[in-house]
Amino acid sequence: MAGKGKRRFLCVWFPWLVTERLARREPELARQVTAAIEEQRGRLVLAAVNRRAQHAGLTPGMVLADARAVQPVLQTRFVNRAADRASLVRLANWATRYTPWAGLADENSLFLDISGCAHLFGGEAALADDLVRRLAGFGLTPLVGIADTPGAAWAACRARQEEGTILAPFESLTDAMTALKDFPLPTLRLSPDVLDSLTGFGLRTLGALYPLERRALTERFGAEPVERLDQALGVTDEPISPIAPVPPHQAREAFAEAIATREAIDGALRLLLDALCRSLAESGEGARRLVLACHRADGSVCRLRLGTSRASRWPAPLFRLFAERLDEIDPGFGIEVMALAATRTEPLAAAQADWRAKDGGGAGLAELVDRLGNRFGFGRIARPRPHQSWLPERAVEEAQPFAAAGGTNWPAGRERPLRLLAPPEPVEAMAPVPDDPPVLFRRRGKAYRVRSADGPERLEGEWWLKDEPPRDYYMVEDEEGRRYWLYRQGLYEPGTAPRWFLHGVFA
Amino acid sequence: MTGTAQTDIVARLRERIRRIEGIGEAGGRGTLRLGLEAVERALPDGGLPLAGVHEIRGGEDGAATGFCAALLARLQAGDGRPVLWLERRRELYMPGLARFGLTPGSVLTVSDIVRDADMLWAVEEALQCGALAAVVGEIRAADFTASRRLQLAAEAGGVTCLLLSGLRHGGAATALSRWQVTGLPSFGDGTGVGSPCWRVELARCRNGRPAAWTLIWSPRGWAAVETASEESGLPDDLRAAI
Repeated sequence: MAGKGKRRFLCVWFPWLVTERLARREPELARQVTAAIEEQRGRLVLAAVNRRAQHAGLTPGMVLADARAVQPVLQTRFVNRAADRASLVRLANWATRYTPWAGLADENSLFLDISGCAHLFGGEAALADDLVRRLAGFGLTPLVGIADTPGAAWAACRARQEEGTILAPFESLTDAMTALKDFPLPTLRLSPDVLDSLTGFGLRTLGALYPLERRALTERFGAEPVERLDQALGVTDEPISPIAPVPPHQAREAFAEAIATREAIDGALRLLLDALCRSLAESGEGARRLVLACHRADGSVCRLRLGTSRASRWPAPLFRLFAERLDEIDPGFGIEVMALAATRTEPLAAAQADWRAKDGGGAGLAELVDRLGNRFGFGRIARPRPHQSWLPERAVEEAQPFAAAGGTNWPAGRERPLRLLAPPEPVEAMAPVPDDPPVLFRRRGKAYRVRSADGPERLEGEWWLKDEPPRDYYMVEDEEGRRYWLYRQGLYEPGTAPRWFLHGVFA
Repeated sequence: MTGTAQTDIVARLRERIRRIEGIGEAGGRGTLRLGLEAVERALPDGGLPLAGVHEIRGGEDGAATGFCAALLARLQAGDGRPVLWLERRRELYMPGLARFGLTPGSVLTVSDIVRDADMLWAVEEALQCGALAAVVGEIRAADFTASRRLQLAAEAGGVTCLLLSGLRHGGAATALSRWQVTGLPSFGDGTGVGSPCWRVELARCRNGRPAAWTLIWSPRGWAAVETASEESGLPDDLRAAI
């Protein structure tokens, strides 16, 4: 296993997840013989049982009628697979307090890649204890296995009844084979029918598979047993899919005692930013999106997301961005782990555009845009540039603040208003002569007498926007010198009243 | 004491006051020339002090916005850095602003800042950043403390601040200058709409002299006419333009 020896996986198995979830809602179920049931081929069968039910001899897959014969006082609830899965996903999210590499292994266990992060929690055994203690606090019974491969970890948490196992790092393949030799066959993560046929041949342990010829095994039982065995022993790699995309750059701090004061949070954030920025500097990147996750003592997670207008890896300005919003974090009973991740990064040596290089003002401007963007939303900040379109509202493109400036200027020679109303405001206009400008229009109950007017200027949408009728625009000036941009929608048609809109205001 | 000596003393004292206040040439910021002799005569040192707060008030028409855009373009042209326009709504239309000399890409906008508290925060932040030629904030009202904060931020960042407010609202409690701009019927031959024409009133100006003018904006820039009826007083090039 040379070269792979550094990777360590933790598998946490919740053997009673379904019934424990039921017991969270109805605590009395925990003290009774309980089973979750579902319909299968027209019969009600047990989908999951609780510990008492198992002791009473009930097992999943049993027909409900048979189970009732054994245990007349059986409590039953219908199983809700979607809710069970959702609760497992929540647990995986919670587990990101230990590592970002947390994913679902199957319907009642999770994989955690704890490579290189166990020391933050005082070693693997301490991490496992911590995990078990906290999960027990949620009313769950977790079994933990730690090993060099996900497969071996999956086996390790199931190998012994009611107890987890930490397998020492494998020195070699022989070492791995010895470690897993006595593990029962069901710990190999096989589908039920494959497992049935293997046990049918009298195979009881993983060790029993070693002497068998791989080709024969594959021919008789399919690819699964060989594949699973190779994965468990580390002959082939098995990727685990994390519950959330794992950011390439992240840092975390675990606190011996939960913190709750603003000073402590500030201090931890500075440490995290320093670590994250170092990591970004090593790969020549800068952060565009950052997520600060605060794992509270009660298991809930509070996340603070913010963005920057351009890549940054300087702790001080990033800290100021966070500082303005740290009040949003409610520490609750205290924060135990803080994790900071750069969820979007960009190469930092990106081309410098326009004014950014001038006077060294670029950094200051970027910081300002970030502060405004994080308070009001980046969507509200724009650096308008021309866009090819006849429709006035489409002739401007709201470019990103640091996008390259469009080389073209605004079309000259056409009068355009200083302010454009979006959407255009319907007005009542009197235009006694068709295709002549209106002589009067009313807006919000106020009459405006037109003194002079220019127009019409006919503007039509692009050909692919056929549904919009053409507009005839008039620039009108009222008696007090106020100038407006009005348009009549559609062509004049006898018998129908034309619709007029106020679209803009001139200087 | 002769009249000249008195004028000298007054000038020196004004200079000292300005230095204490951090305004004007003494502060190394200079002034903005408007290119209008009639208006410059009323302003201290013949121009609008940079790195300070100026208020422009107007009605529902676009006159104040146009005047503001023209000032911005002059500020930006002498500087090269962008300007930031903080909007109460999302209405600014760049093709229209371009007529007053603002080029694409030179204007950054932040829209829909509805609350005055947010607006004042944003203006102050922007002034402190120092990477802008000017900042425009559309405010309803700013009390004395808020206006003073903006003035200090403008001085610290070396950025000129224009506050655009409506006539119906309180506006800023203090500013280096306060302008009131309203539209006037344009001069024209009766067949179409002429060039924009505004009544620009300098209502208050520190070290300046309140006055009012009629300004006409043509594609070549602006010009002052003595009275609205005095069309013959227009410069020839302007008359050709309108």
